[in-house]
Amino acid sequence: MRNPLAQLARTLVVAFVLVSSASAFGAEDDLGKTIYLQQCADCHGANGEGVKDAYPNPLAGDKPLVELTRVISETMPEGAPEECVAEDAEAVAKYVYDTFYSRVAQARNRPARVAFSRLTVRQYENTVADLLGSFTGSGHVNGERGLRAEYYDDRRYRREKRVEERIDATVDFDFGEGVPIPEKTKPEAFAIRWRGSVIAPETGDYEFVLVTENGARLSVNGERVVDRWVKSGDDRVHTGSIHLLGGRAYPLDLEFFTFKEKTASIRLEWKRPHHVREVIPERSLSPKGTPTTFVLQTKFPPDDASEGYVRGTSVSKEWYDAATRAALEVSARAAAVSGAADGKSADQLKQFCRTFAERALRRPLSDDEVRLYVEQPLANADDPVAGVRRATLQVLLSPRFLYRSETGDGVWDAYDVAAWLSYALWDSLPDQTLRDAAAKDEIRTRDQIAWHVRRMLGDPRTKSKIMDFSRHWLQFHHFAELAKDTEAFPGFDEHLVSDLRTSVELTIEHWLDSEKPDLRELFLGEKLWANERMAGYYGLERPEETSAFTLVETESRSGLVTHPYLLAGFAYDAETSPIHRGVFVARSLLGRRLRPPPIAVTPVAPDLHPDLTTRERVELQTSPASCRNCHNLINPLGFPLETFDAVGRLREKDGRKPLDVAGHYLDRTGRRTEFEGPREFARFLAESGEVHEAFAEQLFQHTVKQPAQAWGPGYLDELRNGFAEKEFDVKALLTEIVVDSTVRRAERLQAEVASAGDSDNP
Amino acid sequence: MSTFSTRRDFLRHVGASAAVLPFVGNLPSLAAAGPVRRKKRLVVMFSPNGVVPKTFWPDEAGELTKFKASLEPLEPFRDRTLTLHGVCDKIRGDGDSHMRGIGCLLTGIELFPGNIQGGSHTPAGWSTGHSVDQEIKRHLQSNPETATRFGSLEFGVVVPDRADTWTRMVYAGPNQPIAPIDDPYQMFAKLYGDRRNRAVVGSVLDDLREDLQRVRNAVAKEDRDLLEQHESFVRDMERELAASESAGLDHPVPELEQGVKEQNDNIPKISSMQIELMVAAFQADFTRIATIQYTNSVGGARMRWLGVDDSHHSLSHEPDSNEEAQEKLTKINRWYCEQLAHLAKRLDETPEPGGEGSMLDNTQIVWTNELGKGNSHTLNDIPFVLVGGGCDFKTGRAMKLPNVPHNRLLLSLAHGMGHEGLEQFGNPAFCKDGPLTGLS
Repeated sequence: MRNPLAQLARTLVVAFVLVSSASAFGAEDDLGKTIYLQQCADCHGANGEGVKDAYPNPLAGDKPLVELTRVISETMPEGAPEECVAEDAEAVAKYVYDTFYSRVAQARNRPARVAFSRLTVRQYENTVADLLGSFTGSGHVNGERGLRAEYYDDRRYRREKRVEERIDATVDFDFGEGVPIPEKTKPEAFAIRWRGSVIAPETGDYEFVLVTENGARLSVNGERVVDRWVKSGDDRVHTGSIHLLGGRAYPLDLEFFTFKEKTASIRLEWKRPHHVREVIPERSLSPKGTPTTFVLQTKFPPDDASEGYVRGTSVSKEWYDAATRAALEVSARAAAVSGAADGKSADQLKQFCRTFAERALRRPLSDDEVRLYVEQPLANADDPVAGVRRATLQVLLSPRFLYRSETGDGVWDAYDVAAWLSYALWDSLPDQTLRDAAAKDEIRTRDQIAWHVRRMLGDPRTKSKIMDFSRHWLQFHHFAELAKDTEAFPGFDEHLVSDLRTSVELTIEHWLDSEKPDLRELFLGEKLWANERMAGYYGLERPEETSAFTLVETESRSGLVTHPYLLAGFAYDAETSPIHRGVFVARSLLGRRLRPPPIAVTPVAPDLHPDLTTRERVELQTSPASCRNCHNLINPLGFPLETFDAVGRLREKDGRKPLDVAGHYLDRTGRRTEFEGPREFARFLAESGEVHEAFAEQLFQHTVKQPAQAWGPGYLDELRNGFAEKEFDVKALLTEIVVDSTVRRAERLQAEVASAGDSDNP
Repeated sequence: MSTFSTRRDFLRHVGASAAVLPFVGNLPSLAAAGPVRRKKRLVVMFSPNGVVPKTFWPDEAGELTKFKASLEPLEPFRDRTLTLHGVCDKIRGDGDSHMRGIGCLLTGIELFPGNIQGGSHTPAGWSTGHSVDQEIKRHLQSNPETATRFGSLEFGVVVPDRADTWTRMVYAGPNQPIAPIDDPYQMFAKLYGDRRNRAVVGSVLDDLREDLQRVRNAVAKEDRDLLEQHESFVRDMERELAASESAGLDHPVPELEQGVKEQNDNIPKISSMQIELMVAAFQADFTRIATIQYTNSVGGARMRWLGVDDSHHSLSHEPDSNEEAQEKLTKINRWYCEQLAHLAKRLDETPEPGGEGSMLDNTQIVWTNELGKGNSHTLNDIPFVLVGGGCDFKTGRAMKLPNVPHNRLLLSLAHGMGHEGLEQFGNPAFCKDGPLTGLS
């Protein structure tokens, strides 16, 4: 009989299991192999591939070895489990695990390759926005911020009554019983109009809020979002929401007037995704107008992200239905844009449909394709509007639109290169410059491609994609419900959480705006972006007289691993969590592969050991040998951050005891590094080759949406070395990733086509 | 303006959107098979600026023997008509007569104080209550037997593109005006968008399958999986489309002339397009409540097609002594009456689907106005001309009522439509005597 206590210990322990990256074949494996072939292969196949009519599924999965051993020992061979137990079961489990079961073995047996992919949701949304925008116009804002304001000495916008024009940083005015401009306006009636653009940092639903007792209305992206022109009753807060794509600027028009009212005030606020309601800050407003952008309303199901990055390698019925609805939505807008209802000639409509198809499909049409996508649909429809709808629908539902031909095998031409570049950097289709270059076949050589990549880096869509990547890299999804014990941490409310998130976003945005954003700066920067509230809470000195965000000095912080948003996010409600902090560092920053524990483990409650520090409690709970495999790695990566409490404030002690902030790391080559406290720890991370490689790999996957290993087993080393040579300039790394992935893929496909040609014609 | 807070909400509401509705399914009629009680419908038709009493109202109460000039187009429906003289909008408070005239017409309750001001009186906002058509809609929608896809449809004809107290008659609730849809193509999309979407998707599927095959043959074997799944989805959709096709959409879809712009001179065309859509929507039982609002309170249509170049509102201010103006105003009201008669005719010539008689037998049309008379801005003797048999009122008559509050008529309409439990509507002070007596 098994020892029930030992059994319990095996299932209750914290079990982050390290996936071994190399398997040592030895005597044990010979034994395992022998047993496997004798007792298992009949049903599972010689290579675990499965046997029809016996056990058809391949032997592959993600159970840890210990669990696999237990299953074999207790249940296999079927009907006679006693024939394979103890050492025999362990040996065969290890053989199965190392040879084809584990994910490493799976990867070895089926090497990474470039997978044929469809557009991801983000790519689809950007593609249709830019596709329609290529007909209706597009534009970016410049560096100027705030909104253009016009003040009128009247309740209407009569030119002769316009008394002032200026730039207002924000719209947040309380005129009381007074007026905006004393000599020029009267309290009985005045009007103000603010125009310009609003910049949406992230894709999502934006709630816009007008707070006023007077008449006001707001349009965003050409849509009336809030209409309070008619004052009716005493409500002061008026809201409306609109879906916006991140990284783009949208036209904004805010009209305001007061008439025979006692007081006047107006405030323009928003609640952007993951933030609280706030006055729209100056940095998100531009006095420059922009054209409207087509924002798809159809919702797609989320893309697969099981490999740690979003990619388009699977389809489902839900996705297909959404693609059909989206195509209908886009084709209706396309018909409107074409002018089919406004008497455009047949030739003009034909030209429109052809251009639409060529841009959407990212290449010129053959004669057959012109018939399929343009001529037949136009000819077979009842009226011009229906014709354009049908023609554009034929394009939007086509696999040539929905899938990225450049991810398939076959001949690669200049149009594939152009699409490869634009999706890598923008998640959208090629612009006019890329299309022109492809048409002239001037996008072939490394220099030509590099020229385009450098040009494209300056586009806001690239920045948006890198911001998106940063949120992913820093695991922002962990912080969605960030809140703390209100007794232990009064004042740590949703407003502060929103500020903290803004602070990280500003850190990355400003870093990205620099000439050569050095990855190490994200670990070494000792200043923090903080506003009044944040500075007050974290005891930071702010010289400025403004409530807005500014960079301030800190005492012992060093880069993002010591940012209060991450420190608070990777912590419990009232206590710190060295394990959460350590797992983040191990996985996201050092790129170590950890599996989640197979069962949920409740941390030991502090009250049970009131005399222990958090560090001591964690060491106690993870002391069993089965925990040490992973926690030897995890815990010492969390301990140096014990300098900061559960909301990321500096602390002197943990309870009554002094802090122990020593930590260490054993890297994949067996080299041990020791560090003490956050600044030494951050310096170690900044210089760690594993951090550089993990960053490069994740950036590659996020950009290219393919496994980096598909570019060869040594490719990651090359990337990391190139990154180091360029002094960790992330823009240089991104350039390298995009240029290299393009050039090498072109070379490989060329070689394959050539060798296929050889074999066909020996 | 719309009362929808987002474009998504709007699209969901108009039903035109492929974006939100399930692509297949959502078939129009909710009516279940089996014996159905008699359908009753209500149409409120609005035209602005009051009438010319001497060419509008019959002189005597009692049997209608002959119409005066303004109502002459109704001659074929004289025995189906009931005119109500002496119904008065008693609602006071903020807002000028035009604002209260339209804002309290169907709501029977005061406006909120606000910042919108016309030529006189105090500024006001929206109505403090909902309108009677929406009250009846709620009643009908609460019962599966009378519930329809939309519950109500709000039509407009060249309503100015601004949301203020003068342009809104229908209210879903306090401060919740409903914008009439004055673009027939938008209304068409709301009614038939899904069906058209299904047709257009169906029309490209054949070529799509070929397209897919060609692309599939061009990709590597390992990658074909994805495209084969894709092909199976296309086949599924074909089957679903075929099923939805045979699910029976046997009512006709009106053919609209294309490219009619929303502008003054197109008012006659848009009017008849909207009437066609309304009749078709009733036939398909998409709704049993409809309103149709011509222009707006204070509307300034220039009926050049009648040889009247002046703005309707400016004309309505002319004194009674200006014979020429009164003649023109009579012409204008007569034109509105023609629209009413056309609607009655279209309903009369359409047999009641699944029922007896014509649709007009089961439809109550109410033609009304924000003012009694334009140059006095009176809210007394508001024009109420009732045509058809929806509420089972006794028709072929002219009634003279003794200065009764219009709230009582609103109650009569609700009761006539089967909402008998409604004891008061709008300002209770004007409902004490209950529904009007002697209508049926």
